[in-house]
Amino acid sequence: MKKLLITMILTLAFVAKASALDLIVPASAGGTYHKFAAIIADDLKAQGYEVNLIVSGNCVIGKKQWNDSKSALMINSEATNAVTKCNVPITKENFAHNIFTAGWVIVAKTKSLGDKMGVVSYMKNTVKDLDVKLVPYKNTTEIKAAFLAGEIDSGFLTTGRASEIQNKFELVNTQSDDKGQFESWKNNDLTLNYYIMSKNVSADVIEAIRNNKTLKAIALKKSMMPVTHNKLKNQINYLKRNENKWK
Amino acid sequence: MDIIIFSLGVMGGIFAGLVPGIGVFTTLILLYPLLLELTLVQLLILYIPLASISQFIGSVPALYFKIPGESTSFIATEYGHKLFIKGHHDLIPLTAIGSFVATILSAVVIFSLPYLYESMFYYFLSTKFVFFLILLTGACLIATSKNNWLLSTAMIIAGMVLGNIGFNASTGKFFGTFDNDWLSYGIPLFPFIVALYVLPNIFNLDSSSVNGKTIDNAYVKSVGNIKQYISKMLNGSVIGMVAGFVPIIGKIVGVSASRAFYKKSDKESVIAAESSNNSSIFTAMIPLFLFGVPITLGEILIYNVAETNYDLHNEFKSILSTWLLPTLIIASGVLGLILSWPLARYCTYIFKLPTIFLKTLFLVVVLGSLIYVGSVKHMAWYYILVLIAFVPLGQLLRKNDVIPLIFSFIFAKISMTIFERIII
Repeated sequence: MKKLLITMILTLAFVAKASALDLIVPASAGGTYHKFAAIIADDLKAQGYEVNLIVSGNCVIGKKQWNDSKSALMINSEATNAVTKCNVPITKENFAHNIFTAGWVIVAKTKSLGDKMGVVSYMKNTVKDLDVKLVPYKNTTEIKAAFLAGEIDSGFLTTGRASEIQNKFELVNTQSDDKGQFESWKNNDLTLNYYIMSKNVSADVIEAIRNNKTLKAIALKKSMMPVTHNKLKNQINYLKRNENKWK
Repeated sequence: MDIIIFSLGVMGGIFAGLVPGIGVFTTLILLYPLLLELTLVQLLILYIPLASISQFIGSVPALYFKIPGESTSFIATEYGHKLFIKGHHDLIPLTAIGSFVATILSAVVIFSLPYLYESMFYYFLSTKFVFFLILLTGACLIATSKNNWLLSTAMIIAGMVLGNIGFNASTGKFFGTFDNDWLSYGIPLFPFIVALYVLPNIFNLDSSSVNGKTIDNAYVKSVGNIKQYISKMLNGSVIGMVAGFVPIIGKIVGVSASRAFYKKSDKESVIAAESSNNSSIFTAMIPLFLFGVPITLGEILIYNVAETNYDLHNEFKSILSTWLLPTLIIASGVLGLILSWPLARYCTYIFKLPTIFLKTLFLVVVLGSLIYVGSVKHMAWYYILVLIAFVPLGQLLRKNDVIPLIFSFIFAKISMTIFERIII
């Protein structure tokens, strides 16, 4: 009986130790979040960690799975966190690492915004104070298509997406020093950060993510170098301040 | 290496085309870790045969067993299966040849792209064009359904309501979720189709007189009949090409419009529809290659994977100037033709099995796939609940034509998104 109990305890201990770490993607399969998570998962697996990649389908279920999980990583951004039902507050305890920072710029047929402006649906609040009708799209690729089809006069795009059609528009680069007529616009330096949240995850896992070479190469190639602050408090304040712009 | 990847694409296409509810996108998701390792050219070598062959293969289980392998196979299941069982076995070769004709035409169009003006295609990306085609499809569904128009309209409304449940990422709005987290995901298509259409058809599956000899006779006869049906194949292909520009649901728009075009003859409508879906998958690639705008779920996934490492706009331009795409399309077409025509005759062996065994086999395959896909998405129990919830509706409607309900369900979210955009 004693032997049996010891065996059971050892087995349980082994199972607990070997239980996989959940890596939650609070978005649909095949999208940007999924791609970044798959890169992280592959790298962690190569280093001997057991990772269970969970693609939630959307951020509501992602939040639920985050809450239900005992040990998890989750990719998040201000855009996702700005949806009330998806909000997982960033804290000193759960913030792990900022992986990418993307800048947003306005593209337009002329130097003015025109009548209609294409905007990703979850970003409507960030541009609501501009004097233009807002047309919602699912993502920046759809905005690019609408711009080419001529059904919007301007669009709010990431710098990367805007560069794909750079010969077809007048760029109002709100990320540069010359912000033109948007000098006093409160969101003229808007960025989107993709960051990792963690829960009951060892420091070496976070360190492995920080050192992920593929993610670093993408950041460099796509001009998405993450904004990082030396002090954790400052980093969290930066993300929270940014998040409020998205709400 | 490239041949291995091409072969994997062929096998993926067979898988996506045979198993109901698992389309091109789900197959790509299952292959996702591998996709991250591939170059852009290798991604295309995998994707093109996968997308093409799934359309060729989808009509085989649809005609033989009334089981839709692909979402575009519903025209073949609903209007073609009965004819097939009554002896029109030449539908197998005729739909395969129609698909091949559409594939060859598409290869010609893709090959011509570098010589055409990009701006010619801008209009096809516009919301107005897409809205017009969606409205046209709604009208086609009502006009061609075997129900009375009132029931078809009620089904379309029900499909729109059910399909809109959940979080719409395009509008950022929630609908009908009653604060339930799982409902925010929406009603998954796979268990919905299985409950509403696949299970009732499996339960009604009957033995068939079809055998190798009758199939061979029909195959020989079909060669003489090609002349009679070639115009339907060509028209279906052209309809599919135009419809292919509709984001996400272009294939469905194409098959619905083709069905409407030949409403008076079920056989002609099936041949046209099966040609249409093959051409629409290739014209859907035109915005991707010309402007770097992916418009189907499979393309979006491929684009997302590839954009990390490539300047896609320039890469696609250089790929277009080579023979790669036409070669891949024609090679996929030839293999698709072989798989869905001569080899399809071996499906007759399945009919030699006792009916009860056949029903059990199909149930195991369908329910096993459903639980597997649900597990991959970490929502197996939700899939099962949705299945259980819609089985009574499937039984209630088993004697009706449920295509308006299923197609409007698939259309629902994008229709609402387009409508919101059009009124701004």
